[in-house]
Amino acid sequence: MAKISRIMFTDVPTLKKGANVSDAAKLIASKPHGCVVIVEGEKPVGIITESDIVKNLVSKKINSKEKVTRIMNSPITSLSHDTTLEKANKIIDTKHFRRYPVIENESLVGLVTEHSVVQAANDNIRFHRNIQNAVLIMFVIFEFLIFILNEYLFNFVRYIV
Amino acid sequence: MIKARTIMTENVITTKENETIAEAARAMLSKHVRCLVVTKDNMPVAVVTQRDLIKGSLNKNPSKVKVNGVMNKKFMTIIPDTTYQYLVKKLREEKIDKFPVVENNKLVGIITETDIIDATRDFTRFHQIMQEVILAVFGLVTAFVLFFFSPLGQYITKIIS
Repeated sequence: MAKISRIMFTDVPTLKKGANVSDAAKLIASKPHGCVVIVEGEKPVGIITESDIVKNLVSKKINSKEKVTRIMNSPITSLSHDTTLEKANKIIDTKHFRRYPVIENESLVGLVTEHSVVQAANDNIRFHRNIQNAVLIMFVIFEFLIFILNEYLFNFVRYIV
Repeated sequence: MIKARTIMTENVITTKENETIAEAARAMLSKHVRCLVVTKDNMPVAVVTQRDLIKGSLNKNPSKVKVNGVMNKKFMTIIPDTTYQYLVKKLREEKIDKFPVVENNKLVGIITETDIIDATRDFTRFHQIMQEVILAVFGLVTAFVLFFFSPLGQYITKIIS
């Protein structure tokens, strides 16, 4: 079974709880992930997405010197590094978030996006379906052989004997 | 073949080049979208994402920065008959995730990463159902063939005939 650790990003942008909102905005603008994970030690405690920055900073709801804890989403929904793609897909289907921190022993080790999980799960299913079809085709050939053997070969052997 | 027409969002939220990014942010928040299409004469000329707004507002007043200073050209105009497979290929290989849909020189819809994820999810479900149906049919056929050629099956056939 494929695990999400295979498709996760490992270079997750992180900030400490004491950082301010403008630090988060700068980090989000400079990295392609679209979010920043707030950590306490190694443990992820919150997440700030592009939407949160637009909601609060660009539309001037708060001052850029405010602490990130004011706007972060907490508690977070994280996935364990050994979660299978299929299970992750099911969790994402119910939660509908776009990004999920990946943890190992409560420490942040990566980040997966909704898109990468859905796409990988789809590829996985297609791969399995192809294998299944190959096996089924072999079964058809096997059944056909049984039919031929039964109709002709066995009769022929009986005739000889 | 799934066409763009069936998965696109018809209600496209647009903006103009000379609007400020504060206005663009308000439009995004009120309409719950993450991207705006910049139009000129009803044709898409650029897109503005949340990331662009954040970049544009770093150390600047969002009410003074115009959309044309932050908008990006990372989009691809498509027609309603463009296939889903083509969009997935572009998304994977060229990382393009905004596809304004144009018909008769008029913007009629947009496909974003979210629409592609939803379509992929539906596709995955369809594949799973198909896989189960094929398995069930083959299982029944195999069971029938094996029974037919078994001693008991042959005996019953003899009695019937």
